[in-house]
Amino acid sequence: MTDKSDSPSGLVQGTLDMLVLRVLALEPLHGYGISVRIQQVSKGVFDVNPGSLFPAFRRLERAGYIRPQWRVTEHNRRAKYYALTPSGARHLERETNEWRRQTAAIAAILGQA
Amino acid sequence: MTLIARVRSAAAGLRALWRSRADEQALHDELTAFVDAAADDLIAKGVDPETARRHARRTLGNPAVIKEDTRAAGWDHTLEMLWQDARYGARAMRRTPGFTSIIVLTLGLGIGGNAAILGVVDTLYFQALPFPRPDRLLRLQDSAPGPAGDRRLFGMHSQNVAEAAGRSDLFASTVAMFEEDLTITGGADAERVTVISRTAGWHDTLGIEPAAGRDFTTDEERRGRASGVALVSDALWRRRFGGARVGTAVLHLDGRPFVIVGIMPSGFRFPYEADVWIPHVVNPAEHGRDYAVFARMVDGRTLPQVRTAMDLLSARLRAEYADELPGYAIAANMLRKSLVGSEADTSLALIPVVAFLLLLACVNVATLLLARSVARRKESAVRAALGATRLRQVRQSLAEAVLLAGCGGIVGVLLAGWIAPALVTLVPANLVRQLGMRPPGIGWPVIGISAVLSVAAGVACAVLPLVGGRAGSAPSLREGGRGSAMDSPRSRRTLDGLAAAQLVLAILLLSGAAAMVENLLALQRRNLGVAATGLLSLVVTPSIDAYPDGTTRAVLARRIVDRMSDIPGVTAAGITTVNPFGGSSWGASVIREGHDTGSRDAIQVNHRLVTPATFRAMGIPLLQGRDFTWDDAAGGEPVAIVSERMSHQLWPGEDALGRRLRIARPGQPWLTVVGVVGDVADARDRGDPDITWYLPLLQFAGTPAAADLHLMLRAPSGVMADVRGQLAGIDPTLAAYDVSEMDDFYARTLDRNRVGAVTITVIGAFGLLLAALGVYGVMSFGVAERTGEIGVRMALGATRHAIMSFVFARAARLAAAGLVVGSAGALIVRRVVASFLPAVPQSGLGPSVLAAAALVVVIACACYVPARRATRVDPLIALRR
Repeated sequence: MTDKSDSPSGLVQGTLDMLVLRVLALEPLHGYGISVRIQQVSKGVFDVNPGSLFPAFRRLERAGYIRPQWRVTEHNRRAKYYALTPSGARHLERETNEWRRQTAAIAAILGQA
Repeated sequence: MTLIARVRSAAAGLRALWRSRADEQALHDELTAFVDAAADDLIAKGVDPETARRHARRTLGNPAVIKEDTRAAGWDHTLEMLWQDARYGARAMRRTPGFTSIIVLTLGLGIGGNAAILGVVDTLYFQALPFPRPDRLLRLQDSAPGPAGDRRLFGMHSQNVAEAAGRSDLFASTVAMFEEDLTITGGADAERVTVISRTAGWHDTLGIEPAAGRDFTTDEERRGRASGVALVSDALWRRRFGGARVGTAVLHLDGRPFVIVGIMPSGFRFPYEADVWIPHVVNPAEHGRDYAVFARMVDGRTLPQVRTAMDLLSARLRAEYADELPGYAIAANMLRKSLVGSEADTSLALIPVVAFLLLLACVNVATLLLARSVARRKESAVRAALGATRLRQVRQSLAEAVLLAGCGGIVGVLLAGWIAPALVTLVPANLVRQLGMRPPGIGWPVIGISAVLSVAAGVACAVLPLVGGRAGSAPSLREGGRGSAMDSPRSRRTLDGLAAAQLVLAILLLSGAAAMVENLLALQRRNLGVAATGLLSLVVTPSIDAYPDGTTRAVLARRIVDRMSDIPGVTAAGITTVNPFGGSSWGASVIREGHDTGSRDAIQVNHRLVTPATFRAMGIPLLQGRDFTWDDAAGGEPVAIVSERMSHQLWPGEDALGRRLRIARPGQPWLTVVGVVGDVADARDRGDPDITWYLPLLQFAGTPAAADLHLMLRAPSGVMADVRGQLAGIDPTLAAYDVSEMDDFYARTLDRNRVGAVTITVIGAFGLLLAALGVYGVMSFGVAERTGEIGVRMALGATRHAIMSFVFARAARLAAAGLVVGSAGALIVRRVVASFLPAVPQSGLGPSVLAAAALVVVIACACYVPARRATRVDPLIALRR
């Protein structure tokens, strides 16, 4: 449940949440847009499964990190856009720092070995 | 997650619960938009629309699964599922009202019994005492070796009070008090009130301030009684001084005026159900006063430290005052323990009993639920086929059980509220009547306990059937839910086990009940040593001012006895100073002639002063020698009469007559034993009476032990009007109080035993009923389940008799297992019960045999109906099913 994503060590689930927040930090996007953007930015390394994407939206929305809004797309369709909230931005910064700290530590260990 | 985020999440979840339907639609739209966007993307890349849409849908995956996962991401989902489970459970309950009400009542009784008893325990041990920081308060008492090697506790000798109060290294403050009954004079009618003389240190030790007016000043406390001020209880103020002004109202006690300077808080009558408090100063040289002493420990001190220090102090005091304080030691106990005392035994004894009852109720309900779950195999097979996981199914049955238990809990609370007033006897009077604490009843503690017990019981009921096998699990639709017996030997074993467990629990309850009843009967049958029927007891306390010395008091006593004897209907009259069943007692340390070398030879005895013919009036047999006469008065030869046990204990195998004794204190005269009388039982529940000596009242009329005169009249109670008239004729200030038949006094001492015995017997009977229901349920379920098999047997030529014994054989196995384990447990229960109810012999097969017989009858009855049903099975119909 939500608690797992809170702990900085919840790597896999927390990672997806972080990626979503990072993508939304640039501009509000709808579900499909987010999935495409993650794929593009990660140069195809992350192919995000919609099955885990939507629960992540729900989690982040409940936590108040993103705010939904129905808007019209470039193809003139109605879609639910998500925008980063100020508390989401702070959360992203915290998570990013934590992530950097951890990866640096792991990299150091791996480099030593 | 930060706190704010948590709150926000909670709020969002709540909102979602409100508008779950709109939420659902939004999610659907969102997924559709995803597919549309993906398709548009592909179309823009030149894929034909048809393929694009197909591909887009494949990218998304199964929308139902995504929706389910997304919904599960919020906490509200769990709640919603629980709500769904509960609604489903409620529907199931409504479908089977009979089944439901049996379960609710069963659990309600179990929970209610526990809540009621735990309510008593709450009052006894957990409700805060009304003093500031009560955990630092101690009670100090003198103790001396008792006849049975135990230590008896007494009020404190003034010498010890002074010594203990001086230990400022241990005690931040101490207060010493003694109690006397005085008469309020000068008003409309004379009234006996309890007056507490209290030392300075009350404020620092107990910290209870008057609710109106003021406390004593330091000066008043230094001057003691001579200061002429008093505090009164709220009740006394309302009763006698309504309308008067605090500070000017005057209270006359035995003719002496006291200005009322304050009123204590409502309900506060500590200690000894006090009505009046007056200042007092302890005189260490004064003998014969017993003080109730309370001390506040210095911060950082612990009870063991205080006890060690008191032991050292006691050793020194014993050496220094060998003649005055033989064998004495100062005992320190926490105030709460001292207040609750041994009276709490009965309620503590009931805790395991009600716990057993609840366990029995749970096992019973578990049996019923298991039987039903097997009957509902088809339903659970359908649920499994529709995709319900095992976890979901378990959660469903858990929700149903907790829901049932919740209803049981509500019934239990109502029941506890109804039972609790009957249990007030189990709470020592001082907590409720003197400290104004809440008596047991429905309060938040009881409701909280019931809620916890309900959930626990519900979980237990749901989980018990799962123990010993995955009963009823993984059913398949292929079986058609018919559930033939061959398929579920494990669930049958579990059922049998549960039924046997109920029998065991019922036997334990019954044997406990039998022991308590046996105890009560033994106490009622007990030879009291007095002829209590037709013996009228009343108390007169002559005022110290009007009768200041032994001479005037002796004259008064003789006049009272003479006038009483003249009343028509009174066949014998006497005065004693202690009512053996009145709850109070006087003790004395006694030294035998020839054994007076050291203080260790002092013996503790009950100290009672009597007039001639008192033994005749009370029906105490004179075994040897002579009774006192009016010539055994001041100036005559000092004499004593001893109880039979005392004679045996002090002069084993020898004649007590002519032996000499004295009080273990310097300057006391030797007394010659002139008679031996029968033993008298006392108010305590112990089987054996303590040793007692009787001295002529006329020789000791001036001692503090002679303050209260207990008139003993062998007469019908109709003479009371004459008695009061004669008393008024002697002295109008003499008021008779505590008037009662001796029978009633004794019956009152048994109240707690009676409440205990009745409670546990009711519980035991209920346990037996539950066990019967349980066995009946298991057996009739077994017969229904094996209808096919029985049909085959009958078709193959089995007689009705054979079918009957086929059913009874299973019951017999059940009963045998239950009886063997239960009887072993019953022996242990009996040992435990006997350890705190001395009137019960440790061994004794009677009750166990009785319990076993009751069980055999119950099992036979419980089996008869299902067995008959089995013989009526029509093979044709049974086989066709």
